[in-house]
Amino acid sequence: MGGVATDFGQIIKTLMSSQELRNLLLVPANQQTNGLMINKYFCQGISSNIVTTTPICRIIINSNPSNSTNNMYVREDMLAIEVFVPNAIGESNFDTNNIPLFERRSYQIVDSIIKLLNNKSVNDRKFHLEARHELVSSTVGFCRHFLQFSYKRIYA
Amino acid sequence: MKVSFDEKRLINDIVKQLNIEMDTTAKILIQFMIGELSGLPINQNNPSMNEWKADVIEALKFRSVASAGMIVKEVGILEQGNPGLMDMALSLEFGTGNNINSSANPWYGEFISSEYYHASRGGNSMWTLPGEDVFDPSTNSWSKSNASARTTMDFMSQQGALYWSNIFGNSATMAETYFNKGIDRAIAKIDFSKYLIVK
Repeated sequence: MGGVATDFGQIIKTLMSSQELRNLLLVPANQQTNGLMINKYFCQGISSNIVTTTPICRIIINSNPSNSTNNMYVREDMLAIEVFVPNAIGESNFDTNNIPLFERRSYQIVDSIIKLLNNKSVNDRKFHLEARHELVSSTVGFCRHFLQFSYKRIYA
Repeated sequence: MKVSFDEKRLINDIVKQLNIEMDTTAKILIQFMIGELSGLPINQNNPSMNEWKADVIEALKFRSVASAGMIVKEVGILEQGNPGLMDMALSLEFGTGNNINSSANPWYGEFISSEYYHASRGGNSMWTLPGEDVFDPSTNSWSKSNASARTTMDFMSQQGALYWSNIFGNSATMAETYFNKGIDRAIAKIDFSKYLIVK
């Protein structure tokens, strides 16, 4: 179980270990190692809206404020995942594999993350999808999706 | 035996709990707004915009005041009587100089006819203004320009980032979960059995 750091370590490992998600993010095969993907494609600890202007897909993992529950030792923590996908990526030649024409890559990434976390246990925490929105992205040329998951944890 | 329900006390307590929860939600909303605002890009040629951004963040506040028995809440309100602050906020929203979006800015006409606009600019271009009094929004004061010659300052013009539309819209969307959960929690905290009156 461990602490908050273990929770987030396991979350990011769960996301990074999905071949489907890595392919959707267009991570080049020679960069599909934990050390190369972390901070470039799977980022923690950065402010939500600061993204690279390099046209690559990125997943940003943050903690949102937690909620109290009726049990003083249990809090409902919030995991926020933001997905930044360059708009122009649909026009490139190398990303058409297995993507149906009218299904946007950004939504496919969102679907993939929901499949990996919603109603699933990661580090013995059960995740539940609370919100899914497309937000305005101030980084020109990127679309931005926001996912919020809740999970209960004990602070004894 | 007669059983009745103390509705008045129940409603008062529900309103009290809702106010407590909405206070918490409003504070979270402000945090989201600050997060959105702080992450937005600034023209590197115009570093003063970073200071403006910090000042506007500082000025974003959550006010909860009791007025005629009602709790009135204002979220993310800027003090509109402060011309320097409003100038900074509007410049972040609509841009400056040649990059200003004058048609979208509802206060543009007022600005052009106000004392804050220098007719010698002859348009939206930014110039040094030797010999003229210039307004410094950071200090809310006028001072004599120390420029010795009139030169263009195009490098200072910046596109607006629709800061307010974006930060209000995005942060409200992100705080929606907290709003809904706050209402649930307020009701869950009420012990309805306490309001039964048995005679």
